[in-house]
Parts: sequence; structure tokens; C-alpha cells
Amino acid sequence: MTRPELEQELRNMLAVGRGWALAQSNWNATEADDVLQASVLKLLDGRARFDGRSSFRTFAFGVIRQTARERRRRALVRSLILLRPIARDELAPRAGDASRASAAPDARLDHSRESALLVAALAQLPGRQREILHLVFYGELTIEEAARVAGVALGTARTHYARGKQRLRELLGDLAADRDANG
Amino acid sequence: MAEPRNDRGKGDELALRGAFARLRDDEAQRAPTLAELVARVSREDAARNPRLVWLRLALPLTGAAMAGFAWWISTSAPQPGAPTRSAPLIALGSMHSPTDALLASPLPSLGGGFSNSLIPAPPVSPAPALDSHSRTTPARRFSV
Repeated sequence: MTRPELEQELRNMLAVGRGWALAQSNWNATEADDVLQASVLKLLDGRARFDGRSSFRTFAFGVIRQTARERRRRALVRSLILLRPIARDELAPRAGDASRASAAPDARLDHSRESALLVAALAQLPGRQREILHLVFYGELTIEEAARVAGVALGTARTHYARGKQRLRELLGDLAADRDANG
Repeated sequence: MAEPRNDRGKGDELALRGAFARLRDDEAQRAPTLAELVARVSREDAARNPRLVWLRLALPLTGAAMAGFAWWISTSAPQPGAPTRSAPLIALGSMHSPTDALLASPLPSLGGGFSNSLIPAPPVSPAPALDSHSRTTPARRFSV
């Protein structure tokens, strides 16, 4: 792949790539931009080389995921060395952080109310389910491609997809009911 | 009439796709261009303090200087005719207390001074006799 082709591929996937970086960074926009920038630089200077075994989008999503993980690990090590409490934003989003997640999106990103509900519901899903659903629905990957990015077997990804979809539907219903009740 | 399960599943999937599409549209407005992304200063770059760069350089340099000095001390040979520097250091280093050091070094001006000979030697017990059937016999005999 030549340099102009690579840059064109990056331009095409930048918006969805940023969404994936946001999902990997607990919807912290600054951290997500850092992750996305580090990933793009890796691709441009050849530290991550696309070999054509999958679609470019699948490959780039894998690089973003790996970069986000490296940054979280580095932040954890730094916090241990400097004996400082690690910021919540620097850690991976966890399932069950419902109260924080439902309060956070409005504060962090100026989402529409529907999108804020979706982000809050996603934050309550287990990590694998959230990743697979995000890759399939937001990134528009197939389940097979999503399995490759998330590093799980295809059957496992299908299970996460089915369960995650059902759970997300329930959560969206609950959150919408809460919102209507609270006005 | 109840809605068939398959149709309901498809409807749910379409609704989810719609919700994600709206979220994607929201985010797409904020996505930077490739040039902006490459040119931006990351949080790590912004937090990099030039004073800390000097500190990062100074620590290894200090360590290297200390290691070099230790190596020089350990390898420098005494000059011919000069009093040996290492002997008293070794003697003092092996002593447990100043009294031990005094006992170990006789003082000629005091007519012999103190010496270790004042301390009685421990009684030496005779070595046990080895009988011919003992397993502790040191050498084996081989017959041809």
C-alpha cells in the first residue's frame, strides 16, 4: 500500500475510528484523541504495517484497541511508580459503572439525549459484549471481523452479540422509562 | 395477533442500528481531519517538563560517575615504597570492635603489649579412633 493510499484509507475511517477510540477510552474525548493520534502515527511511520490479510478497517481498529490497552497499562505502571491514585479515565471502562456512566456522557460529550442514553446503556454492558456491539453497529463490521478485532473466536463473538443485543434493548427500555418518569 | 419473534428481532436490530447511526453522526461532526490529528500536541507531549529532561539525564550520569569511581578505587595499585593502603582497611574491616583491633596489633613500646596469646586456646579433644568397620573410612579399597 502506497503512502497516498494509506492516507486515503485513514481519512475514510477516521470518524468511525474516533468512535472506537472513544469506546476504548470510557468516552473521554481527550484520551480518545490521544489514542487515535498515536494509532495513526503508528500506521503512518510503519510501526504497524498493514499486510492485507484483512480489511484495512479491521486492521486499524485492532491497532487502536492495542494502543488504548498499552496506554492504560502505562498509566497503571506510572501510577504505581509515583504512588498516585490512578484517574478513572485512564482505566478501561467497566461493566456495572452504571451510575457514573449515566451521569458522565452528558458532562463529557455534548450528545443528543438519544445518544447519551445509548452511551449510558453501553457502559453497563460487560466489556466483550460492548466491544462486539460497538464494532458491528457503530463500526459496521461483520461479526467475523469484530471477532478478529476483539481477539475472540467467531462462536464466542456470536454469543456476545446475541446476548449483548438483548441486554442493550432491555437497558435502553429501562433508561428511557427512567428519563420519562423524571421528566 | 402477536408479532412473530423473528420480525420482532429484526425490528430491534433496526432500532439499534438507527440509534448507533445517530451516535455516529453526532461524533462525526467532532472528528478531526488527518492533518489536524497528526499536528496536534498530545497530552503527554504537553505534560513533558524540560526540567525533568535534565533530571533524566542527571541520574544516569551520576550513577555512571559513582560506578567509575568505585572501579578506579578497586583497581588502582599502590605505588612502590608507599605504605599499603589496603592492609589497615582490611584489618579494621575484619574486626568487630576497637578492642579486638588493639588485641590484634601488638604495641612494641609497651613491651609486647597485648596479644592473642593471653587468650587460652580451647581444649583440643582427641580424634575418635576409626575402627575397621566404620562407614566413615575415607578411602575405599579395590581388589583386582
